[in-house]
Amino acid sequence: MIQLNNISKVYKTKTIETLALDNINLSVEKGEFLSIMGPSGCGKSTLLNIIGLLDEPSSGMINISDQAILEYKSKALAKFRNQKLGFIFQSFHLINDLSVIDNVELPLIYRNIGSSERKKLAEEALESVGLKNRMKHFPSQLSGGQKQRVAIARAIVGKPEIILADEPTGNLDSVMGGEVMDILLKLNKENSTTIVMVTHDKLMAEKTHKLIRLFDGSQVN
Amino acid sequence: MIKHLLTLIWNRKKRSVLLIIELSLAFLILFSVFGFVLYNMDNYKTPLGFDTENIWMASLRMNSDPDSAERVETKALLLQSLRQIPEISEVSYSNPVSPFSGSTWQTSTIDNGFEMDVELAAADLNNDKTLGLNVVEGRWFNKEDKSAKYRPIVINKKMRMAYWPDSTAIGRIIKLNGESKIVGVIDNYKYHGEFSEEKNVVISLFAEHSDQNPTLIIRLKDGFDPTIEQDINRIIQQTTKGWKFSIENLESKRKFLNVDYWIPMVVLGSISGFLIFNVALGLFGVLVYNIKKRRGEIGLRRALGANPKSISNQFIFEILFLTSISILIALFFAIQFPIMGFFDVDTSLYIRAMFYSALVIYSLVLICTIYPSIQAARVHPATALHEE
Repeated sequence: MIQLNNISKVYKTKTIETLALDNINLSVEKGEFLSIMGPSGCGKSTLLNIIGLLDEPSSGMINISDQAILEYKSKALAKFRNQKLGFIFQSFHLINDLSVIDNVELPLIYRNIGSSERKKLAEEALESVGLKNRMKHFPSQLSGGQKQRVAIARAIVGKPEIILADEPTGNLDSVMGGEVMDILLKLNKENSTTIVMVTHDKLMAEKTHKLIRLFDGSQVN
Repeated sequence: MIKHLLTLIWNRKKRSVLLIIELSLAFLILFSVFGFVLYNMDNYKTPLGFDTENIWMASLRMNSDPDSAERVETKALLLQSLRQIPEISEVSYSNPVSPFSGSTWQTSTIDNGFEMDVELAAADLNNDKTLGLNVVEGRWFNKEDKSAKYRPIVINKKMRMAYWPDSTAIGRIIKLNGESKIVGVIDNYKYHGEFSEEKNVVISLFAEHSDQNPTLIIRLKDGFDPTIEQDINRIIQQTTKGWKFSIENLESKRKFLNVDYWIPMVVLGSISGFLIFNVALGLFGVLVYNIKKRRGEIGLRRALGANPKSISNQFIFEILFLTSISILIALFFAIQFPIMGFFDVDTSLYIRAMFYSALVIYSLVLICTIYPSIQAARVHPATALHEE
């Protein structure tokens, strides 16, 4: 499903070069739930951004769904992200000026899906995370756990093959974090959605199929 | 997508209020300036209706002489003396309501139930040739008019079209300081100046026994010697024996008078230009700030499938929509001018002023949006999401 070969990422400024990722090789199978752990600044988010096509590696190759993604132009990348990937972020990234349902509909807008169809799909997604009754609310009226559940609904509304979660429980207490993790596990189990999750939480990571650790940009066992 | 953006704009309405007010006010300022400038330029485009090149005017201030016969004689002698100068092609008299004199003689009358507002002037038999007036219907005054039953008058085309658009005005008798008969129609007669609005003008035959100070109009032949002014001056002095007078070139007077109109237009244009420049700066600042504040949203949209072009289009759409709302609000106020008839000007002038104001505002907004929208499109999604 996801194949990374010799991925390196170097951030360059005029005076300094920082090696964020060093020769990462990774393979994630369809329906697999992978967690990435490591200390802050070790390159976890950079790796997730590269998998999520939000950033380009300095060298190496990425294949997602058997497609050589690095050959894609900006427009094709956007389309690929929209159709194949779903994102969940630590800080939720909900648009505060949009209602819950409008936030969930967002990926579908870039697929040019009609308004009524979008609404139907968004309601279904919200129902699956138990927030259908909150669809008219605004993010500011929700708790942290509810916000993250909205973000999950937004990530799954387009039925992507892969979900990339960047510390989805990082801003939540253990109870809410547990609820969010349960939803992700359910998604993985019932829909065979491939999930790549960055986390600091060892307990959460242990619930996934596979765990990789990063240290100073390198993969460690 | 449009519905989604409209929802977003609606939900952000409180934050857009100041921008909408600013753009509405900018529109109204431009509307006023364009209205004023277009009004003047429309007037400017209408022909004066008389020549100004090679024409000199002498305002005569006759001494208080009860013997009007002597005045008539002196005036006739003056004409005769001036006509002997070879460079002079024509000389005539008018009353003080003459081109660019600043004098006006307004009156109104009722004709067949219609109230006529007119401005009166007086001219002699040669005035048409001296000023180069273009008679489009009927004729100019002749010697028989001096003893005619009805006082002969010549009107301008504007008046003819205002009161008798579908029938001839020639031969009509109207009550205007007594019964007056229209004998001719001249094309234009904007004697207040090039920027002035043409009024309904009635020219009557200048009475030789008039006790008004006359204006002497002198038309010189092409290529005249500039020293001719001295000769004219000498002849007037010698003939009138002590009358006071001043001589002015009509072309110089036209240019001088135009300055009075150009200055307020340039001043108003400069002030509004400065205001609009400030609006543009403010708008640019707001847009740049807006993009900066919404970097997280931009990053998110990119992650969810928006390409750079759709991001920049989103910001352009948002600001153009807000601009349209602002213009609609301002139009509500602007449209009151033609509806309520605050000024006696043609509705088309208001419509043009509205169009040009909207054009300037839209152009300004588009120019101010280009850089911020490009900036938005260049936001790196990973960086923007990380910053958030």
